[in-house]
Amino acid sequence: MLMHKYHRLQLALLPHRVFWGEIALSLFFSLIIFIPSTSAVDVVRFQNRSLTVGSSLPGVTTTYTVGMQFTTPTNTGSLDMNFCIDPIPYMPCVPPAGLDVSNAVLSSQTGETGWSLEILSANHLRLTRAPTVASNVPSTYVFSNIVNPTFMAHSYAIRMTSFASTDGSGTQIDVGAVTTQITEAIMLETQVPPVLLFCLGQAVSDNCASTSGGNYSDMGFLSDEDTLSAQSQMAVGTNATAGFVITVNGSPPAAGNHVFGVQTTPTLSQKGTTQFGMNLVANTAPAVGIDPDGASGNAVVALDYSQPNHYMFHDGDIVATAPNVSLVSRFTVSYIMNSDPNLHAGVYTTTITYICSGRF
Amino acid sequence: MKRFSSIVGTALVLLVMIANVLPVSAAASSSGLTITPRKNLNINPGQTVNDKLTIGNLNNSADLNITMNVIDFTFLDNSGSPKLLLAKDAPQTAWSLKPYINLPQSIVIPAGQSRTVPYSITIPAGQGAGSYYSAIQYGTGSSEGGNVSLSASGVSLVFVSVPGVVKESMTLKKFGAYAVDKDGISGKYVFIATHKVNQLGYTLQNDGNVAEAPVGSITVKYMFGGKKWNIENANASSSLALRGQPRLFTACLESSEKTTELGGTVTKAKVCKQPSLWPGRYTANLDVFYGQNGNNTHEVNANSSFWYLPLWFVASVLALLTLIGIIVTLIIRRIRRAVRGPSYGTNRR
Repeated sequence: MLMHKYHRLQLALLPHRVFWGEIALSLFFSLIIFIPSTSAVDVVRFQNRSLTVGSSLPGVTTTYTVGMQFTTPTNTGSLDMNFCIDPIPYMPCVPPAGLDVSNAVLSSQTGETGWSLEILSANHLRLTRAPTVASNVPSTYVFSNIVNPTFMAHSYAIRMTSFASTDGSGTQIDVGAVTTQITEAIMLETQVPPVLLFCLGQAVSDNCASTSGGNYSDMGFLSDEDTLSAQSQMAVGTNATAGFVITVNGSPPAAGNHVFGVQTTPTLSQKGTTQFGMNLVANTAPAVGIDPDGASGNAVVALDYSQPNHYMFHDGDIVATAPNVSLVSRFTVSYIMNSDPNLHAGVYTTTITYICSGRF
Repeated sequence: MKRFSSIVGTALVLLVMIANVLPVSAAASSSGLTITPRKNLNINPGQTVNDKLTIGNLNNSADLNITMNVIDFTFLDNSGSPKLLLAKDAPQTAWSLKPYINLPQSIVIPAGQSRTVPYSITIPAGQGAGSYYSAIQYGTGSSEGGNVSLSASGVSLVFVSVPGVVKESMTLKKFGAYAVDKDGISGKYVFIATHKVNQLGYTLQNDGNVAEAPVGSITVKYMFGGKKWNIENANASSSLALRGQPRLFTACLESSEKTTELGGTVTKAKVCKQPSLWPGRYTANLDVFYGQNGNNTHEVNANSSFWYLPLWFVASVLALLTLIGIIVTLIIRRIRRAVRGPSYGTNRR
């Protein structure tokens, strides 16, 4: 009887004899069938939080004006203010070096008032009052006599938390943070200034101490039976954390009003066609160029210019890049020129400018 | 006497001929330089800031002739690569520093030496608050001759923040696991990763008039608990989102410190390393802040998830499910035979 009911259920749901395949696939897809959730969630915290620092010079004594609006209309007896590098409340609080609030004074308060200041440590303040229902009015609190951090490499924050109690204990009500940064820097001797190193020539040493061959390439006489080729080199390195980018800029070779055709997509060298292009790798057709070398492990040639025996040229293209700190890399640029039999006679020349810049 | 004069005259003629035949070699010019890639300044309206640019000549045998000029730039894509507006007729951008920068037009740096070049930026009184930026281009010139003349230029990106009430607006466009390409810059978001994920990414659209560098952290958790990743700095490189840019920020799930020695200086930088991941689902929480001094602090909070399903794991799961299916089928058939008798299954059509 039981088997008969099972058999009827099986026929109703899975009429095919081979059902285990569907079950297996169903189990697999059931594990992953859900819409990937990427949601921007508006966190309900203190509203309209702001921070105005009187002076952004490191180490000076100045005023901090904190603006905010309480979100939860409930009895509020204390407002914690913790000065940390990281604004995230559940991350460990590391005070910014040099900051000192131990002599802070609550100079003025507007909006939600009645607070008195309690100093807990060099980076921790607390406002306390008799628990009163907090309204949503804009509030500002001016603290004078706060010593700015000398820490300049990163922003820092004031983490704020409100409580019903008067001593910062118990369940938190509203939370939030404000951030700021010391921006007018005094160069500290321990800081290493970022540097970008770049050189160009027909041949360059890997530390750019010397170049040879001048800054031009004479490719010879154009012919529809031969491919002209030449090469140049450039070396680049940086200790900037954002890395570097090199772009190629210029116009196709031209003789007066007669402009050479260029390939704007990677193309094989073809004799008998009007063609000008370049790449930054070793080639066999024709035999020109060298693969990038140098100590860098993260500097790479742009994809369009990294295909052997494929050449192109487009004004403004990125030809090489590094995403972060990079030791010196040396790139060899290969140029090719082909011409068709009907090419207008003349001396075809161009100036190619390689521009190296940091990234942001 | 006549003979002496003849000899002297002949010598003079020969000298002139030789001088015309031999090429006059121009003094070689260096094209190797070191520059500061980026400058960040905070200037009040009505204030002038005097700063210095340090330029080095890497060539030990030739002087470096530099021409300097200011060019505007914007963003190229969602990365941190600048798009330099080099055209002579390029319109001035709304954030251009061209009207406010004063710097020398040229300088010569002796072989193997460096020079500091003073320049100033004056922000007019009444100038609106916000971010202003342009690039200082250092041109080394090109040699005449040949089909292809080459020229090298370096660029310093100069960012000026004018304090005051600004318009700030950063909207989250996407957040999740990010698989970078070989260049370490481009890539794509992934929901199902077959290779180990070592970076999280988030894209913020900047519609304000301030170049923003958000700060905050990312937390990643595994579906079955255990190890949790706290990425303490979600913008370790202090990358900027320029005005109008949809900027991609990435953060390493795990990182190690890399020491780099360049030009006699030692720098430490964080580089991503491959994390140890188990196959399965991971959830991530993003919590970043941005805001200028004197303005509201804004917070961007989002959740996302991704799967790490390496091919060996998928193959193993499919094989296991197949095996389970076969076993279940065999068991059911045996049960049916036991219930209905030995003849069951032989005459069914």
